[in-house]
Formats: sequence, structure tokens, C-alpha cells
Amino acid sequence: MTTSTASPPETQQTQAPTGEKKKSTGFKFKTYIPAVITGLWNTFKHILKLDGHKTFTLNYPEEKLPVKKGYRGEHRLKKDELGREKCVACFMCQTVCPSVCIRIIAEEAPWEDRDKRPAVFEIDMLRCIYCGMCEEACPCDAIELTETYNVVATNRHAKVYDKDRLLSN
Amino acid sequence: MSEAKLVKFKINGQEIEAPAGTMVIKAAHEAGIDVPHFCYHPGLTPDGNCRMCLVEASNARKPVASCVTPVAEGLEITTDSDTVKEAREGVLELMLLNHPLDCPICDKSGECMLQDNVYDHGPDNSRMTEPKMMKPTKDLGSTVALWGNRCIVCQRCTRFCEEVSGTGELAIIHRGDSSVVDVFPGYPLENDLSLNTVDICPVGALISKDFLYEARVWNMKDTPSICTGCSKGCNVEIQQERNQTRRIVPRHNPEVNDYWMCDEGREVFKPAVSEDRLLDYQLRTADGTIDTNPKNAASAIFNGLNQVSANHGTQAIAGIGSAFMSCEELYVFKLLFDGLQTPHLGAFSRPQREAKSFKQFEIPGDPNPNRLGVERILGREALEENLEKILSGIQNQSIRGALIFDDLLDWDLPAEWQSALSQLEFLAIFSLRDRTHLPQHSCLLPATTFGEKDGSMLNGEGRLQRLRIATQLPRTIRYEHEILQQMQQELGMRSKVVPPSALFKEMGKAVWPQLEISTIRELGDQGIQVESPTENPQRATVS
Ligand code: SF4
Ligand code: SF4
Ligand code: SF4
Ligand code: SF4
Repeated sequence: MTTSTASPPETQQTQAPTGEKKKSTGFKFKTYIPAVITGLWNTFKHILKLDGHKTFTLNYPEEKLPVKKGYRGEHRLKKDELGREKCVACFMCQTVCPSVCIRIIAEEAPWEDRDKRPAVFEIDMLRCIYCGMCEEACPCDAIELTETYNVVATNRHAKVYDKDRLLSN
Repeated sequence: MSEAKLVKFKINGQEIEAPAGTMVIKAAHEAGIDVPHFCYHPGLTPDGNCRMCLVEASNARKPVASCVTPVAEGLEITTDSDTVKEAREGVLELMLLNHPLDCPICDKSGECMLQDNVYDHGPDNSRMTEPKMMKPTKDLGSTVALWGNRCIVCQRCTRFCEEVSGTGELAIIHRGDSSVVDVFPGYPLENDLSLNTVDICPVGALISKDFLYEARVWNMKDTPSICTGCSKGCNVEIQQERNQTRRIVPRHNPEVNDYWMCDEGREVFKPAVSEDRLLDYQLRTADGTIDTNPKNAASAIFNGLNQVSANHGTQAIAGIGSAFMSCEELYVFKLLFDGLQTPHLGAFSRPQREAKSFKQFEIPGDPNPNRLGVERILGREALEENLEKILSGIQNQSIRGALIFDDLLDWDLPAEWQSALSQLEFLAIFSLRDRTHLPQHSCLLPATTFGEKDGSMLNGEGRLQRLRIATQLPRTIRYEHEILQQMQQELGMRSKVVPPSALFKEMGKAVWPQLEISTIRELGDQGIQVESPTENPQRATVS
């Protein structure tokens, strides 16, 4: 360390690998021709599918990539065996959500086996960053991120999913 | 009160002084040492039943409950020894034996002492494998519901009903782990202080039916303010979420309300969020159209009143404020009408009712939060004599124009006023409700209400207390004091519109010159006694 700082920078540069210096100042290097040819050869290898190269492009939407396990797509509100939402409107997901995109209004549940349910449950999909924290936080396993990644819509309102939309996801 | 002798003792080696007779837990809390507890509440007599506050004391072999152990000279208390920690874990494990732990749907979650204490001091698992006890979930009265499973039998609620309200509706029934709080058959929990039991219940066993599932407590923001339900001016915390007040809870002020407030006071925010709230200005112009632009409100009223005074003289206009206006509003109101040169200045107030007296709490008979403020600023006669004069003036057509404040909660203009007002040539009325029955020539202006204004009010005991803004005004509404100040500007009395804090300065000098309160901040969270309660003997006898 101390020696390198002590030695003057100019000497370092001049003493630097002389062989390389020669190479980089040569005719071939200056005209770029070998580099261009190497690059084009690479291109042709892809076009001609030499060297085991293959096509990556998919004809989406006719062809689709298989979704990897654990992919976080659009949300779903799960249903119990009677077809009612499992959510008990505890607001844990709303509290943990880093992009504050969940809106819940709770009400008393009309059922015997639980006290509370969401009257309104909305997720603003445009604000959601698909982090999956809501799924982690849910104590009732009532919300999950599905593998649906086709998230297009023609207007903003359609991207605020209400309870029914989330239940049918 | 004779000064109790100071006793020197130690907590965790820290030398502490406290008056003889103080309980160890109180001294520890005052010294900033945490002693977890459930059944101890500073506003109730100590009971020592929950055993959560166990500490080691040098004068006892076994851990003692610090809430029922008085301090003693030379006593040495340990709150962080292994024995104490073990004791706390044991207590909490027992408490959780039958506890449902339904925090996700429990309204107390987030402010629950059981959650906090278990998190800080509890065991990390439970050895209980038997099914849990089931206890009833039911209504205890019209305001409070019981979730029996969550009750930890701390008896705070029963002590409250015995000691503070003195009504004694609640009791613990059954024995052992079947114990649960309940009411006697046919005697529901119906008293005017019932919702305090919900506040002091350390867990979610007692739940306010009004607040049930309204919000999660951690989402709400608190603003310290005062209740405007009556002349007591209880100190409260306004809890708001998304600019909508969700709940009002009492805030400790030993001089005013101690730890409590009445059930009625918890409803004072309702008019602000009610459906039929007036939200638009309706300024009727000369050509019969209706202008809704709030910017034109001041000039519309000013021109209206000016027209009347030009036609019939300045004596033909009247101003009627209300005992729900803040002192600052009243002050600008008074200056304005002095500037308009009319002696007709009155104020509406809600009629007196019967005072209610509980063991440790009084609900005064005067349901007006700032009646005393009106008396000091507009004059005592404003509330009655002047009102009568104005009424007869309107009836005999000597008064032709008026600016009226109708921002009183749960109150309607008396019938004779309604008919009288319709005879006026010009009427401007600040109101909380849409008053479609008012005469065509009136200007209707939305009033601001509880939780929306900054300022001060003088309670029935002569204590000047601070109102704070908890929720922003609906976008279409302007503050009354701004409109009044703009009218002053039209009169050339004021160069610019100033906030209530500046008005407070002006008012403080003018109304209470002997007091040296220079800024509204000095009122702090607890208010300042500006008049001694005994100075107003008529308070008790106001008819
Ligand atoms: S995935 Fe993340 S951002 Fe989206 S709703 Fe859930 S918590 Fe919020
Ligand atoms: S965390 Fe689960 S149960 Fe709670 S509100 Fe969200 S989805 Fe419903
Ligand atoms: S009382 Fe407290 S610990 Fe019990 S369920 Fe309610 S929040 Fe959870
Ligand atoms: S209801 Fe609440 S305050 Fe009353 S005994 Fe049970 S836990 Fe204590």
C-alpha cells in the first residue's frame, strides 16, 4: 500500500504492460475490423443456430412461459369450504402493505362461527408492488398471490379490484 | 391537605422519595420504572388481584403485589430479578390458559395490555393442551358488549361501577377459571359513564358497540382536545383515521375530568360526519341566483347587512352567536358587530338540564361548552336579555337584518325564532344542517364543529382550555373566524386574516388583561384556570 502511493503515477503508467500497449495501438485495433467480424460471426451463429444456440423469443400470447413456483402475481381471496371468504378483516395485510394499497372496511359477520368479515376489500393493483407481504401477514391464510401475471386493463378503475373480483381470481 | 411525610426507599438500587402511604407501583411509575400490571388503575382503589405487578421487597420473603404495598423508610424493591421475571411469566401463562387470543378480530388489539405484557414479559409458549373454557359473548347494556372469553377478571370495570359511577351494575360471577364479569338479570349496564369501562378494561372483554369494528387502533391518529358536549370541558383525545373522527376517549386531567368522560360526550363528533351536514354555501344574490363560492361569503353577508343598515339604520341589524363558538370566534364576532355599530348582540345556548352527580364524577347541568366565554366576551346579558330584545325587535320590525350562528349540537331554532327570522329582510346563518325551510332571502353558510377548529373555550369552572384541529375541514367549507375577519377587512378594521393563535393574543389582552397569557400554547394540554370557580357563584344557580 505505502509503496504504491509512494511511487509516482507517471512511472507506473509508462511501466505498465508494454506488450498490451503495442496491441491496442496497432492497425487492427484502430480499424475495429476484427472486432466487428467477431461480433457478426456471433450473430450468424445465432441465426444459423450453430453451437447449440436456440430461439428464446416466445410467440406470446399463443405461447406462454411456464410460471415458476413461488411466482407472485395477482391476489386471490380464498374461500372456505362453504364458499365464504376466509378473511376476517383483521387489517394485518393492510397494516403491513408497504405501498398502502389495501383498503378494508369491516363489518359484523352474519355467521355463527366468526365475528367479523370485510364489507369492503379493495386492492389497488396499480400501486401494489407484488411483494407478497400481505400473504405472509395474514393470520387466516385468507389471501394469496396467484400465478396470474396477465395484469392488463384498459382503464385505471378496472385495476382496483374489489372483494368479488379478488374472490373469483 | 396536610403534606404527607416523605419516605426514602430504593427501587433497583435507585434512591426514590415518595409521600408515606404511596403504593410502590405508583412511586415506581413516577420514577419511570416499568412495573407491568393489569388491575391497577391510578383512578381506582388498588385491588391486588391480577398479581402481575409482583416485585421483591426487602421486608417480605415472597414477592409482593406492588399496587397494594405502601412505601416504607429504607424499603428495597427489586423489579428485575429472576424471581420477579419468573413470577410474571407464571401469571401470564395462567392468564392465557383460557384466553382466546383472537387479537386479529379483537377491537382492543393494538392497545391491549395483555398483548403488551405478554410480548414484554410473557412465556414463549403455553403448556395448556386442554380445550379452552367458553364464556358468553353478549350485550351488557345498550352501549357495551361483553366478550367473556377475553376477560381476565381484573375487576377494573366492577370497581369503576362501584367507585366512580356508584351504580354497581357489574359483578364477577362464578368461581375459579369460570369467573367472568356480568350484569344482574334485569339490571343492564345503563349509566351515563358506562363507556369508561371499555376504556379501562385492559383487554377486549368490554367493547363499545358504537365503535365495534370501526377501525383498528393503530391506524388512528390522536389529537388532544376538549369535549364540547357540555360546560365541563372534559379533556379528550380525538382519534381520527383518514380525516374522519372514529372515536373520542378521555384524557387525564385531574382538574377537570380525572380519567373519565360521559357517554354523551363521545358522540359530539357525529354531526361533523353526519349525512345531512350542510357542506355548501348558499349565498342568495340580488338577482335571485345562488352563489356557492366560499370566497364570496364574506362580501355577501357584509353587503347584505350593509344594505339593511343603509336602509334602516345601524340599529336594524343584529348578531347572534352561540355558546358553541370558540372564544376567538366570539371575540372577532364582537369586534365586527361593534364595528357595525349595533348594540344587538346575543348568543344562543342550549337550555339547562338537570345536573347528574355520580360518586366521583359530575355531569353539569349546563350543556354549553363555552357559555362562560360568551359571558366574558359578549357580556352576560347576551344569553338572555339581549336575545329577548332582538326577538321582539324582529317581531316589531325594528330589526331587519341578522347574522346568526346555529352551530349548537342537537339543537333546533325555537319555533318563535323560526317564524321571526322569516320576517327579516336579510338573514345570514351559519348552520350545521341544511335548513331548507328558511326564507328565500337568507344566506346559508356551513358551520364548523367539533374537532375542526383551533381555539380555546372557557369551561363552567373558569378554566380556559385548548381546542385543536383533528380533522381538516371538508373542502367546500371555510372557517367562520376567517369569514368574520374578512368582513372586518371590508369594514377596514383589520388588515389581514390571522389564525386563531393570533386572535388569542389579541383576545387575551382585551378580555383577561390581568392574566399574562401571551400565546395559546401556554394553555398546554391541561388548560389554565383563568377564573377561580368560586368567583362565579351564579354558575350553580343559572336557571
Ligand atoms: S403484494 Fe405487497 S404491495 Fe401488494 S397488496 Fe400485498 S403487501 Fe401490498
Ligand atoms: S390479513 Fe388476511 S384475514 Fe386479515 S384482513 Fe388481510 S386478508 Fe383478511
Ligand atoms: S384481549 Fe388482547 S390479547 Fe386478547 S384477543 Fe384481544 S387483543 Fe388479543
Ligand atoms: S371485563 Fe375487562 S375490566 Fe372487567 S374484569 Fe374482565 S378484564 Fe377486567
